[in-house]
Amino acid sequence: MISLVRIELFKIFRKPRTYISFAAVIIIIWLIQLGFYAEGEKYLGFSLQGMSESFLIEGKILNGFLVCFIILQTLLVHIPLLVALVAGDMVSGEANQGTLRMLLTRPVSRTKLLISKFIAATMYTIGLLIWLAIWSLFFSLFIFGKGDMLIMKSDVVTQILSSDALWRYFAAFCFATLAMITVTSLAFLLSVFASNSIGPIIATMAVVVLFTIIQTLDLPLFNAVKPFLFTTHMLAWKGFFDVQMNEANEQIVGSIQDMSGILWSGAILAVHILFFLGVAIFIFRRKDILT
Amino acid sequence: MSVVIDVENLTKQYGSLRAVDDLSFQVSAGQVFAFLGQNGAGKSTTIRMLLSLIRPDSGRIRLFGKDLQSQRISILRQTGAVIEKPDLYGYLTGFENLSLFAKLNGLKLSSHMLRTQLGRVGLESRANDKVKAYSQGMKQRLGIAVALVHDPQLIILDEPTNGLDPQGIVDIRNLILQLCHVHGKTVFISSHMLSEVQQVADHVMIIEKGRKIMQGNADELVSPEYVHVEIDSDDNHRCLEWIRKSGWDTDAASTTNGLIRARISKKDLSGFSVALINNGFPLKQFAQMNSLEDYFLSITQ
Repeated sequence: MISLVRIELFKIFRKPRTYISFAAVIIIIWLIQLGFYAEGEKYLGFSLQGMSESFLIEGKILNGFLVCFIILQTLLVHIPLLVALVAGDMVSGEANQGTLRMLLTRPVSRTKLLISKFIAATMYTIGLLIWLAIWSLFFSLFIFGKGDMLIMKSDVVTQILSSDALWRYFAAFCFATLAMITVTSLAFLLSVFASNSIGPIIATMAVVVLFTIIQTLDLPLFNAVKPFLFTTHMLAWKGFFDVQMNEANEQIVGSIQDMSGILWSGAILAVHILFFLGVAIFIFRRKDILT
Repeated sequence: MSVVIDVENLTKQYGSLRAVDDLSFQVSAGQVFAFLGQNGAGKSTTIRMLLSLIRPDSGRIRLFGKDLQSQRISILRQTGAVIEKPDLYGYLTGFENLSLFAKLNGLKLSSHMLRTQLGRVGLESRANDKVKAYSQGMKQRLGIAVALVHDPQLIILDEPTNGLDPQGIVDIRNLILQLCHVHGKTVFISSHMLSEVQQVADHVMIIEKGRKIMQGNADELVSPEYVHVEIDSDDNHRCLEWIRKSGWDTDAASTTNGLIRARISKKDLSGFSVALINNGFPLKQFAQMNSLEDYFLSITQ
């Protein structure tokens, strides 16, 4: 099995398309960082205009933690496409090239082959998220420095102390990885059905976009469906930045407001992953290789 | 002689099309077994079922005495195959492709051994080139190297000379003969190049519309006593009637291009041509054919 995973990883990282995702991530991050470096203070000043009349805001608001949060908000919507680019190609790409039939005439179990492909796709996703973390967090900290974070939501401003931020990012990235593995498993499942890689990539994005639209619209019909959509739970990483308050309305350092909600979302994503993978194995074991 | 491939009542249906219909045959160890049929006859479907790429609707396949369904991996360890065109990883080099497939077979071959294998199919000098830069013939050779990398007992080759130049065809023919006669391998070969098959095959099976229509020893099929002749006269319709009625060949038939095909005893051949002329059928063409290709055409057309 380890040997099969190594072979699959070797194939993934020898394909030029694999590096498109890494290049896209770095280009987008650099652009955002460049924008904030040039005009970040002005942008934040505008955003905090209303607040500065009621509060005295001191210290360095534009810091690496804040920039990373903004990057994640922006980028985690696009990462599914980059993930689908590789995961959606894992089986369908081989079917399209005809290499799938070459593989399956070797003495390898179909289940093991599929699982090793899934593990390799998952490792690629983890690699992409680590890459994202390095450039969005560590490089932002390097450029903009540390500082307390101000997170603005519709009606609430949360301040997270600089010393309390790093572990939250670690947790958030771990959760985001789980969310992206869910997208990986969906693209992977669709890849088992198709004989070309474009179909699964587009279909994965279509599902993510459709679910996100449903999630955004505040209609009674959609509200009933929302808890069942995996895209709803993919955003639970933001929960790591909701801090619990004590009776004196002060923040409890190191606390999370709704840990059970995050765990619930994590469990739902894990169930989705297992379901998608299970169906993929079931189909692949019975699939006639006609290409 | 032990049986390597044992197929019983194999059937596969795609919608309303019965691609393989109740097919049964056996292949003995050490044979070069030619599997012939026109396009769409069911050859590729059968081969894919032999390699468990396609699940049969019914029937049983045993390879090396083992049930393919339940002992697939053990069987594939002893089997090498090239199906249709050998599709390999274009973004990898020939060497990397061979190394990858060797690993999939559980082998850890040294670089020297892999290069020797590539040398066997004439690709040693192009080992470090990416496969996408290979010609079709080179890909075919690499596909054969991949099929043989784990030294299988059974080699299944679907159109192995596709895309090869004349020298490549000769090389593959010699390789097949060597595999069978020197190394004692069993070769199951499907090809549309019947003249090639004739030179290597011990045993021939012909299928049409998924059904076996003939199976036999290659030498027996191309009988030394009979010959197929293709005739073109002034009035082929009347001429065909006469050949049938006069008893020269009651099964004589028209070909798709309007000629007459008849099977005549070799010793009567000159008498037959004279009889045609004497009965008012001046001959524009009287071509004698005695190849597997002729036989194949005569029973599939």
